[in-house]
Amino acid sequence: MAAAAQIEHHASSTGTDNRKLLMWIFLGSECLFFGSLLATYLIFKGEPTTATNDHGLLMIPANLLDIPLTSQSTFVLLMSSLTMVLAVYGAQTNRLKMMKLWLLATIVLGLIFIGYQVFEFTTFGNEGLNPSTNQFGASFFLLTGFHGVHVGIGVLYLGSLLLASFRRTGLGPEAGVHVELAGLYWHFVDIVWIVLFTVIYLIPA
Amino acid sequence: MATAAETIALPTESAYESGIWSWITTVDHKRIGTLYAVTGFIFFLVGGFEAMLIRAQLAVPNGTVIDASLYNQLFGMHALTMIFLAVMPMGAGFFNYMIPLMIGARDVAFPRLNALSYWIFLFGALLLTSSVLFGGGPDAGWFAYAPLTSEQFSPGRNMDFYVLGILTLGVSSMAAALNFAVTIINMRAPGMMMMRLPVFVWMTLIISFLLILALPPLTVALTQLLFDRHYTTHFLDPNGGGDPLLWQHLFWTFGHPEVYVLILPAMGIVSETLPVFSKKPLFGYRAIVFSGIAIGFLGWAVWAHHMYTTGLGPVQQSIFAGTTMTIGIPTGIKIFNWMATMYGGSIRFTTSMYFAVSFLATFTIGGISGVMHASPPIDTQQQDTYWVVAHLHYVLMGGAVMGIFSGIYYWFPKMTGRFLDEGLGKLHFWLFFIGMNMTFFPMHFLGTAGMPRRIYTYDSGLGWDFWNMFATIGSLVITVALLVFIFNFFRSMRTEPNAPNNPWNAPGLEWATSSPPPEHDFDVIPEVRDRDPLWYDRDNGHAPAEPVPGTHIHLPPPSYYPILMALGTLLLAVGPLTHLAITALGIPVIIYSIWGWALEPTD
Amino acid sequence: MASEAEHQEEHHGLQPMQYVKIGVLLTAITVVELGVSYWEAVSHMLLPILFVLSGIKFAIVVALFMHLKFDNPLFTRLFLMSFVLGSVVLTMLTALFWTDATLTN
Repeated sequence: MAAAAQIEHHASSTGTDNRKLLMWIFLGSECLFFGSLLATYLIFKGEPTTATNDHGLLMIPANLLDIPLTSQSTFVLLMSSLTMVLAVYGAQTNRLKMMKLWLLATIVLGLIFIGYQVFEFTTFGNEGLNPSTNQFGASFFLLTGFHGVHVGIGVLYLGSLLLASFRRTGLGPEAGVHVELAGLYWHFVDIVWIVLFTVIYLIPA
Repeated sequence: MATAAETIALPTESAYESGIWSWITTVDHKRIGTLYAVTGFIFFLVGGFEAMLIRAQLAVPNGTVIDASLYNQLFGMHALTMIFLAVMPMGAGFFNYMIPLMIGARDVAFPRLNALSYWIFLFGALLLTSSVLFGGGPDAGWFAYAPLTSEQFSPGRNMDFYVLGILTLGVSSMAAALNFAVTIINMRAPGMMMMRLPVFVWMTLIISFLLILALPPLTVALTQLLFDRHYTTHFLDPNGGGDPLLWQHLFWTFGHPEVYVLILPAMGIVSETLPVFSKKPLFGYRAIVFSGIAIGFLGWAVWAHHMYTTGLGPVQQSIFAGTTMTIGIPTGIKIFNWMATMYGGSIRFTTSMYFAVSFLATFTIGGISGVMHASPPIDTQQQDTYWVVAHLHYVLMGGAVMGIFSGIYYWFPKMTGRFLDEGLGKLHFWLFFIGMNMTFFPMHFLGTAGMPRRIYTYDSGLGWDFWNMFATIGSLVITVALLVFIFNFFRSMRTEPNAPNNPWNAPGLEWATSSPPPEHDFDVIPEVRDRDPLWYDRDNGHAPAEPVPGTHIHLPPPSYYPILMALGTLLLAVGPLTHLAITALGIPVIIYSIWGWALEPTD
Repeated sequence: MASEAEHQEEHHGLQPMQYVKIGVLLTAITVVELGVSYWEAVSHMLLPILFVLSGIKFAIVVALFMHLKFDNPLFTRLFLMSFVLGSVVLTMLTALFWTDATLTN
């Protein structure tokens, strides 16, 4: 019915889409979440440790963090934000092939980032740093671990959208909104990394 | 705009279904509100039972009713039950039922998310409560300070139930808070500007944001505790370079906004009932709203007043003492405005009004003892004594619970179409009021006389015997009060549901529809012209709008994905307590639920 | 529907090439951050410089990629409120620990 099609867009008191409002408020709560993890990291930052590995290497950031390597993964995540915004553009202008292409690109970049994180975590593990080693280990793994989980959830989210877009009805008439919502989440995960990279890797002990 | 497509349900449209499956798959805010309210009240009785055991043990010195280990579980569970499983859900019951009606909407912004919140709450509540059957309830207090909660000092699964239970309940609260924030901001009827919102709606908006922002630090703290207990980290363990105070800081960063989450809804309820039963509009609406907002913000700056005796140092203590005393100001502003509402009014002494007026008095007593706590030197004497128990019960029993009962008597006709008997109601009130004061006022004396909290027994000859016995008798009086209420409830439910739309002659939009409302809430979405819409329309001769015949109201269809997803969440939480395979099972259940939810048609 | 397409056209603020240019800018700032962190001469000013640079990146992604600049001001206010509140509270928390004389740091 023609009337049914009109029911879809309920007017809202502020003219904003309920789902976008939900996502923005949710991202506000995520600021507190990552902020608390970051505060924990900063509280323990610089705490003297005597933990060493079998080769006598002291388990401190200066000896373990590989800034050139992490710069690469930071670049990858940054580029994924670019591909994401292009996917959103495609979805909003009904260029569905463009949307699918850039969604896929974002997913791939996200997976590469996760790959870098896995590599870094295992390298640290081999060098003797794990969550129980010292406070740096505990707070580092908790903070970056939770970030990595968020990236993983983002990959699943985008993957679901991409899969759903291959249905006969695709993502439906509101494809733009759906992809935009995912984009908000994805960009947020990126800006969290911007902060994390600066605080953990660039600022010395 | 949307009104062009609005319709009324023809009388023959799908009857409001009954049967268990319709309740399991409901996405109707009124049903979800009812589920919350009933579940919350049942847990209120559970928490009361836990309290009665405590009082039985403490009635006489060297009591032998409960041993120390069980006592520790009881006071921990009592607080957890009352805070998370009783007061918050009963508040949620009112938010759910009333908020859409009060703002002139047909439902909340996300009906299925609403249902999800309830089912996760129920499963989390059952998880937490089941702990007593599976090794013992959390026995380190509801605030669970480290290092007592470490694996070394709390072997066994008590504290694991704590962590996982609260994480689960937190998801429920977060989802509900997000839902209500969006609903209140975005789904108001035409003309319902923010400064025309009922105070109850404002308070709900504020606590929604409090929860959204305060739950994350708690999540982090709980995760750190879990990791310390099972993954050999040392966040909270001084032997590994950690700091037990980190837990306290993160916990109270959540905990203090949480107590405002507990009281602001009751303040909202009282702001609704006092004007109605004084036949006067609320005095100082703007002041009350802005005070609520101020409390919402200031509440973030006071948390370490729970930690004065942890060696913060004079600078830190002074700062928090200053902020804590400051927060008394907006609270006081509200009290004076409520009193001014009554002044010069034509008071109707209904049971609801009794509870509302009592709120003013008993909450203020709690506020006064609280302001005394704000001073570090005084608090050093009072911390961990029964003085604090007195304070918290005056603000929670004398505040939150009084407010909730005021709301129950007020909104009962709207929700059920029946009236709670006023005679029994007054009996309930007086027994409750007397019992509450008998139980908790002497605790000021006990605290000043040095009786510590959280002790399972005490010796005679310390000067504590008389008031402990007195308090226990008071708690029996409270029990009788609640039995009267329960009797009143069941008796009333057997009467004919023939309450009119607006039995109290109240101004709010929820009274513009039938009692109880039809499934679609309003035949016509009202147009709002004033802060007290129904009084304004009555005084200015505005008749309610006539429904346009032939139009069709679209209601969201029922869904089983919310309960399924809640089940998946429960599996996630149960895994760490038993077998991680169960957690692994929860993941596909959740993914399946999300897909089903996203793809199911909503029209 | 026609009105939906219009709605979508006004919705996004930038064109793809502009997004690419922003991406390049973000990369450039990251390179500067890296360089600065190795540059001995400014090591005593490192913290404020990095703070400002990553702050700029943060703002660019939020305002432009996340569209906050072009969307309803309500979103900006809500997000900023949460972000500022969180930053203040957690800075206070961190400061409490850093100024705590009882820690053996």
